[in-house]
Amino acid sequence: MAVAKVMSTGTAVGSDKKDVWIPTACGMCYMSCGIRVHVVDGKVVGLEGEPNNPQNRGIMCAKGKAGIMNLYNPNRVRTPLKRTNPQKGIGVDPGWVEISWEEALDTITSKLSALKDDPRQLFVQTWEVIGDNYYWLAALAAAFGTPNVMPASSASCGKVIHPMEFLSGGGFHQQPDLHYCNYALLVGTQIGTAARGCFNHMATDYAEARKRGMKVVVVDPISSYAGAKADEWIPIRPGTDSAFALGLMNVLVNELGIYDAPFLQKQTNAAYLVGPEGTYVRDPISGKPLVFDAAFEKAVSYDASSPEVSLEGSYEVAGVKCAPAFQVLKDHLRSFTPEKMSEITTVPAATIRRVAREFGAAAQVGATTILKGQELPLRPACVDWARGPQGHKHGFHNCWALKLVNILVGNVNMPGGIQSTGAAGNTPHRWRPEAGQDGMMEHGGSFLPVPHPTAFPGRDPSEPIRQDAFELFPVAGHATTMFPLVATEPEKWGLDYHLGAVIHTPGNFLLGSFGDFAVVERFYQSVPFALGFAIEINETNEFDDIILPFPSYLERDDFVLPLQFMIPICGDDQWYWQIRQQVVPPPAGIRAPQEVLMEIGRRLGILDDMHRILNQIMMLKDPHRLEAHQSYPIKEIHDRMARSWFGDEKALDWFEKNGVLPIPREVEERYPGPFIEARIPIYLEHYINRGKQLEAVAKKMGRSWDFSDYQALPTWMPCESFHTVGRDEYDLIAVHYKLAFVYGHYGNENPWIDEICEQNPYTYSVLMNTETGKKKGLRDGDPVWLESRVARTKARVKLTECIHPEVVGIAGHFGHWSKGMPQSRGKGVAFNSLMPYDLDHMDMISTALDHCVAVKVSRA
Amino acid sequence: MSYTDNVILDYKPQRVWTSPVDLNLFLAGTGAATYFWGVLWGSWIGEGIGVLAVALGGLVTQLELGRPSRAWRALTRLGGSWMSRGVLFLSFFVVLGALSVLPSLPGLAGLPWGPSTTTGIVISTLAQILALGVTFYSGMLLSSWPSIPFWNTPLFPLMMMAFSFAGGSAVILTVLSLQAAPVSLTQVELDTLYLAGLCAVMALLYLATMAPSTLASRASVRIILWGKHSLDFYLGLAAIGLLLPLILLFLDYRSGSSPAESPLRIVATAALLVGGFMVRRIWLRAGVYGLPV
Amino acid sequence: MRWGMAIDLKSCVGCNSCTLACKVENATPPEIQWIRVMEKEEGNYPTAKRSFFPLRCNHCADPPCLTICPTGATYQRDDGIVLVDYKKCIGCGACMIGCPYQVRFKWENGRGYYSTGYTPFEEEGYARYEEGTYQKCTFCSHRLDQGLPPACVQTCPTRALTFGDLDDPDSEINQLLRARHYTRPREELGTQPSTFYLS
Ligand SMILES: Nc1nc2c(c(=O)[nH]1)N[C@H]1C(S)=C(S)[C@@H](COP(=O)(O)OP(=O)(O)OC[C@H]3O[C@@H](n4cnc5c(=O)[nH]c(N)nc54)[C@H](O)[C@@H]3O)O[C@H]1N2
Ligand SMILES: Nc1nc2c(c(=O)[nH]1)N[C@H]1C(S)=C(S)[C@@H](COP(=O)(O)OP(=O)(O)OC[C@H]3O[C@@H](n4cnc5c(=O)[nH]c(N)nc54)[C@H](O)[C@@H]3O)O[C@H]1N2
Ligand code: SF4
Ligand code: SF4
Ligand code: SF4
Ligand code: SF4
Ligand code: SF4
Ligand SMILES: [Mo]
Repeated sequence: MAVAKVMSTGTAVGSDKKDVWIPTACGMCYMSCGIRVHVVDGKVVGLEGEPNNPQNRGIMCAKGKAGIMNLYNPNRVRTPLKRTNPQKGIGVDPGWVEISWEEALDTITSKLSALKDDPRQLFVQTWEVIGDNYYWLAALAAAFGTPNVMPASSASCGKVIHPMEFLSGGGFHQQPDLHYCNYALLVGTQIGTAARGCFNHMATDYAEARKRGMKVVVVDPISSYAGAKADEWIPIRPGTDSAFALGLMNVLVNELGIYDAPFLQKQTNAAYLVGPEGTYVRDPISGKPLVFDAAFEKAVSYDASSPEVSLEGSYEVAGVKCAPAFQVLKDHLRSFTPEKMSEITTVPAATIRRVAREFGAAAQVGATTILKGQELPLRPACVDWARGPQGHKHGFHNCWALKLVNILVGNVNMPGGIQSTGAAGNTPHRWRPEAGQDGMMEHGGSFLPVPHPTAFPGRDPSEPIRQDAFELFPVAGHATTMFPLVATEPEKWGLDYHLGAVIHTPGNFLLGSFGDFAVVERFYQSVPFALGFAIEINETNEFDDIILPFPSYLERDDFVLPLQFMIPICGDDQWYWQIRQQVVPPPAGIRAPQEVLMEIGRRLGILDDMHRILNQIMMLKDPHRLEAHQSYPIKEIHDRMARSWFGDEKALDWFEKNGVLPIPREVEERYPGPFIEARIPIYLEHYINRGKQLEAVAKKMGRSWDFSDYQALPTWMPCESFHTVGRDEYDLIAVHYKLAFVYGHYGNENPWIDEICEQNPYTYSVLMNTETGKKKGLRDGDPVWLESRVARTKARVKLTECIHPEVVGIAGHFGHWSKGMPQSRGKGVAFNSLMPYDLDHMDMISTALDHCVAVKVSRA
Repeated sequence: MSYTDNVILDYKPQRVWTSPVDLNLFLAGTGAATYFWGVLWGSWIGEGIGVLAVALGGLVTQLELGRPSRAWRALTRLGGSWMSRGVLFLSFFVVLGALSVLPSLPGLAGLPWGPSTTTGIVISTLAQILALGVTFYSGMLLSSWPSIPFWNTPLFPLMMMAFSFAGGSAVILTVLSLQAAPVSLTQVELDTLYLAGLCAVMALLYLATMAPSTLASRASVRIILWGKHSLDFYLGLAAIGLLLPLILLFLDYRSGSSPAESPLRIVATAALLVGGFMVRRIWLRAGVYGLPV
Repeated sequence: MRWGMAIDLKSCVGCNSCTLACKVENATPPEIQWIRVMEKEEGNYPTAKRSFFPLRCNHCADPPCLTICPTGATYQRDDGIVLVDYKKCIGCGACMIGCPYQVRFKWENGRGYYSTGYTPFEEEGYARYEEGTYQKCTFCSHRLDQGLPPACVQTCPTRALTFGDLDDPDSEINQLLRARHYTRPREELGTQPSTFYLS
């Protein structure tokens, strides 16, 4: 009885059938699971998971099941609106009045045309990743000619993981291979229990894996959903993950001697010789890095060596003292003794040793398995991490240390190990990660061209021309967190222009993307014209001049659901293509966002350029390429995409009928690890040079800058709160975690989700350890003031045993005040408001904000 | 902001039967006992008050039903449901009680089943038996369900009966006093005093036995002694509802005052009735479910 | 034939997908969740953890709610499913007091989620209910009758819920019950619940 019986499959909108099930994609989080929606007499009355979609396999999560109430939210925006109160600010009533589309488009066109002499003045926030509107906005920005695009939303989640994957895994994100993993060390993630995408298959596979005996160890300041299902919870002081990982590696490498030598030799730069400057020793003629070949007993270039390259020892090559990168790492690790790391992390040294032992044994270095007749390395142990270790001052190093644990045991993209999502595929075209400079992985594999610049070898830093000063972050994936900091005082960054207009998706950037709301408020106030799309009027929309209504996911057509190919299911599973289509028509005043953007482009005279760009990113093939001087309805473009990729027999109407096309995968697509012809780093040599180049640029700009992160090997450096915890007035550290039934701010207005939150004292409250609470004279449920250096907010305290005594835990994405969100207004805590927002609280590699916030709590 | 801890596994008080079920239990129990005593002491006014109170109690409950207009359906499962049977008793009682009182009403003396006729005696005896049933039944019903351990004790119906009969006796005492009835009230007063004492003893015994019994009933006791209903308990039940009438009745009894009306008695009656109401209110609200899993 | 449900507490992550699957499937009115995920904390820091207990009507073989019901509105089908006939129920609440599991709910005043009126979904969905009467999990009898699994079972992401015929020795649920340790909720009360918590 496990799988849903297939109901009568659908007929799309316009059918005169009164009772239909229409296949489409969920849109209550960015995963876009396949679903079937039951429509009776034009009313949506039910929905169920699509059994043929490999990502969710017929399952839907709580957020998805709640979607109908988002569709029917009476507070949705249904017509274009314009602001009448010129004053903007938090709590200021914009004085909305309804206007016609014509008036809205006229205003938009005239405001944007005025910026055309310096198109950089346009700022575009494209994060709305449940559909392909994302690409249309990107195309608009590119055609308009502005580099000021913000493709991501979070101040923490993807900052480190994506660039790191591009250079060390080849995909977009990471995923443990739950099919074969026997030991999962989860550091700051709630995969399989509450968060990550796609929850549905992960939860299933994770539960299956645990039943089969996979051991789960959770390293996290809070024991919430992840902790609940772990064999062991190891509470850790926030912001100290690199210390934990370095201690672990020290034991693995120097005490136990566990590492995958052949993998390190063949598939990494572990053997590359490193000189006294920290850079490679190179062949004077070819410029290629040298390795010491034990068979030839001499240094040769990495690509001319036998498999017997040395990982250890010290050498002298042409008078230069050098050692293989692995030896340098080994020596580096020695200073990170479990005892010292224990003081930093509060994790007992014996625990660090034991976990290293368990992990090392479980990794079965050297083991192999046969899959479909092919012998592959089997590495059934991995470290997985996500938001927890990223959002910190020095967050990059936290994550880099954790990543290295995986690389050392050679589990990257191997059965049982850590998988890089969407790294390789054959259908409908072939893509693979590829080697570039020095034989290192340079081009991650991606089904469609992704908006992230490559992380290796990085870029030459220069004086900024972008309003996020991206040029000063030469190895970052993007620098989105910087926009408000730079754009509110561009002169100080050497910029000779101000932002003149912002276009943003319905995302709630004010609440979700940055820190201290006072800074963000100043930022949105400083942009003279704001055009926002809105489903409901959220806090970001309250700064808009014009609001355009945005359809619900059940009223949209999307051929590309971006995260389905960026975070697809990994390992022993199928590939697939799922589409979204209207199941009910949007209310009369709402238009398809892609068509709106093309109309704006047409009025601005840049539509042909948009078409050209779309032809390229959407890989349209003749005769399906978009022509100049033409306007297309969105469905026609989708049809062209379908035909270009899947051929005429799988045109749009096929997808509208079937919803999803499951695509079988070969072993090389499932586990590309052994097949990728590019090395991954254990030593980030390019950081040394990039750091130096940056120093020169900063000097020229007269800026003081923290270069401490530009090190090739991971190290531990403290966040601010490390110094204040237990000492300062702000004696506690606030961190946040996600809930299985809440995604971003999407579900906050949903009364079904709100109902669940209200009944559960963990959700809208502030978690504090029972003992800590007692010391402060607090009782469970007391109203408290939660105060950081930049914000003070009232909340209810939930005393619990499930949290580190130095930590305050805040769930989900709450704390609304917008009038357009009456259901959620005044509930929970807006975590981001607490975060001090400046360069001292930012990871200087990735621009991740420090979310271990020094706070104090007192009875209200 | 409305926060609840609804999904936390904990001992939760029931919220289904609070007010006006407490009023119903009070009116029905006390009314039936009043009728009972009324017949015994020959006070038709007492009988009448009793019947009215029970009827009123029934009405109050009916109005509180989710679907009042379907109340008749409560009589459709006599074969299986004690609740259904209870409703039947109650209805029969009201009918028979009313019948038995009618001939005593001014102008209706001509009815053929007057108090001294055989039919009249049969009717009132039957009604008296039903009254006994009514005082017993609701407590019996509530105590029969294991879902709420605090109620799940024979003490529950017994204590409810004690309060009913104490209240009823006090009402009769007052009625007779106000009527300046020619009977000696010493016995009635003494009964009332003893019954009130019995109530106090039973309430204490109840709490004493429930506190160590189960975790759920301990939670109930906590609600009563230290929790949300401690004021109701100490002031409403203990001080006003029991101690005060005990003292007043004792003083009144000691002073040996004549059958003539005594304000002390009236105050004592009122106080005892407050106690009778309070005990239902408190006991209902302190009904804590056992854990569901 | 007697339907039963096994709930694997080792797998359940408290995600509430079951709660909302039921909401959609059965269009239950505000403040009513036929299934909800109860939880408690176990142990002390640093070995503490939260544990989850999905709770719904147990479709007891000997259901106190039915014994009490004065109207016969609560009844039991041959396959063991305990249902409420909304047309007969008078909303007295006795069943709610008598059920030891707190899994019955009254729809007060015909309230919907918004003060502005029912959404189209609610309009369609609430038509099956009567205000002022009690309701509870039906084991999705309407789906079972079509050969579909209950909505909560269908969607549970961890596959913690297994539904099947307790009278059939070969059913998936009976195989599970033979293989795993389990408890039945408050079994000592004699209600003979058809829920089995696997531990
Ligand atoms: N249900 C649901 N699913 C989601 C989302 C959602 O909102 N809801 N959001 C999606 C998005 S945008 C993202 S980015 C992913 C995120 O997926 P995850 O990162 O897995 O989600 P979180 O719950 O934020 O997990 C972060 C964990 O890190 C812990 N933590 C905080 N600080 C530290 C620290 O310094 N060190 C360590 N070791 N741990 C720390 C927190 O307590 C928390 O348990 O989930 C995606 N999936
Ligand atoms: N406290 C706390 N803060 C966090 C995090 C956390 O876990 N806890 N996580 C961080 C992370 S990892 C991220 S990625 C960010 C996410 O940040 P969010 O701001 O939550 O995510 P967004 O997707 O940008 O915005 C959500 C908003 O998008 C609009 N929206 C867009 N499309 C739709 C739709 O189809 N339906 C509906 N209803 N609304 C739509 C809604 O107005 C909604 O309010 O938050 C970060 N901040
Ligand atoms: S995981 Fe996301 S896309 Fe999938 S059902 Fe849940 S909310 Fe919808
Ligand atoms: S859906 Fe499954 S895993 Fe989630 S709370 Fe319900 S029973 Fe537990
Ligand atoms: S769980 Fe409660 S409602 Fe369900 S059958 Fe048993 S007693 Fe009745
Ligand atoms: S509320 Fe309805 S179902 Fe429950 S006992 Fe009363 S009549 Fe029966
Ligand atoms: S079986 Fe059906 S009615 Fe019962 S809780 Fe599950 S979804 Fe709801
Ligand atoms: Mo995120």
